[in-house]
Amino acid sequence: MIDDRALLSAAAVALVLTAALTGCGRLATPASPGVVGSTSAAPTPASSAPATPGAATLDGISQDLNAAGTANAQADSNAQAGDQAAATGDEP
Amino acid sequence: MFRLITITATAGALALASLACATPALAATPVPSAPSSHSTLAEIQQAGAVATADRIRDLTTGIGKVDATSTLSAADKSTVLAALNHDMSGMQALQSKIAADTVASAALADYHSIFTGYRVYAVGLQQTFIAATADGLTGTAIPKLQSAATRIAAVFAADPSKATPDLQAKLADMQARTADAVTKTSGLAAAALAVTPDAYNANHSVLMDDRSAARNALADSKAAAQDGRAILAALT
Repeated sequence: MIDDRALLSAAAVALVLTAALTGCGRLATPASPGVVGSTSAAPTPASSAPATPGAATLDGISQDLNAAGTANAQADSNAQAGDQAAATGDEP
Repeated sequence: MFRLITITATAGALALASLACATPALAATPVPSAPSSHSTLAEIQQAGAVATADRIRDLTTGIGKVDATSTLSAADKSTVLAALNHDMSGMQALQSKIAADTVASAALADYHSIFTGYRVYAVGLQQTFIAATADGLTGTAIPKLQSAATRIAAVFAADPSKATPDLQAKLADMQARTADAVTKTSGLAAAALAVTPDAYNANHSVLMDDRSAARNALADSKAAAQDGRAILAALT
């Protein structure tokens, strides 16, 4: 079916294709430091006072969440592109 | 970081190039009506030229993006590239054949096969994006959420005073949402990539469940990440 809607949809797919599948969700995620509880990530005070999460521990959580957020954004972009493809006229 | 900047810049350049080209092309493209058995050979050939050109353009863009992406797993990337390149060859062959047809009925049959034989948008590109969504979640988002939840649980174990009921509830929700995303994405990319044009011809909703599963898994992953950020904010 070649009509205005199909052409507009095809143009939309072309634009979405340029934004999706860039793979940026897998980027810029340096390996996280050791897990919480390791001596390097969460130094334990000598006293019996409650342990406080160290900067390295919080940084590790932050890096994990940032990487997940980036991957989610990329997945969202791909999901939108899939929606656009599905909505594009593909009937004779 | 260099790679991020490079790819981001490339994506931006492509987007701008696409924006720059798309509008004039859209405005300049004649809009033939859908050909029928009453259409002339020239009308069918014109519609066929437009339909194949659209698909060749979008397949070219899609193949380039799939080539460059690290979101798809290696196996899925190989499957997707084989399918998209098959579609590309088919569109190029049909483009030439329709242009060379000398009988309207033959051209009309070839025109119909653009759709029924390939389903470039409804199957090829759609399944590519479903697989990319699923692989992006299983390859990066979900493992990172699991890692973050493990770290948070360890913080709570080391200092129970930080494990307030509210934060414990958020961690439980984060873990449950992540587990749901794991379930919903299990086998999803493979299922989407197994769909063929023939399967779509028999059932136009054949990819609908897979698309919904990808969307729902993404919603779970986003909710889990939101839980994690709320916990992190409370800990800092």
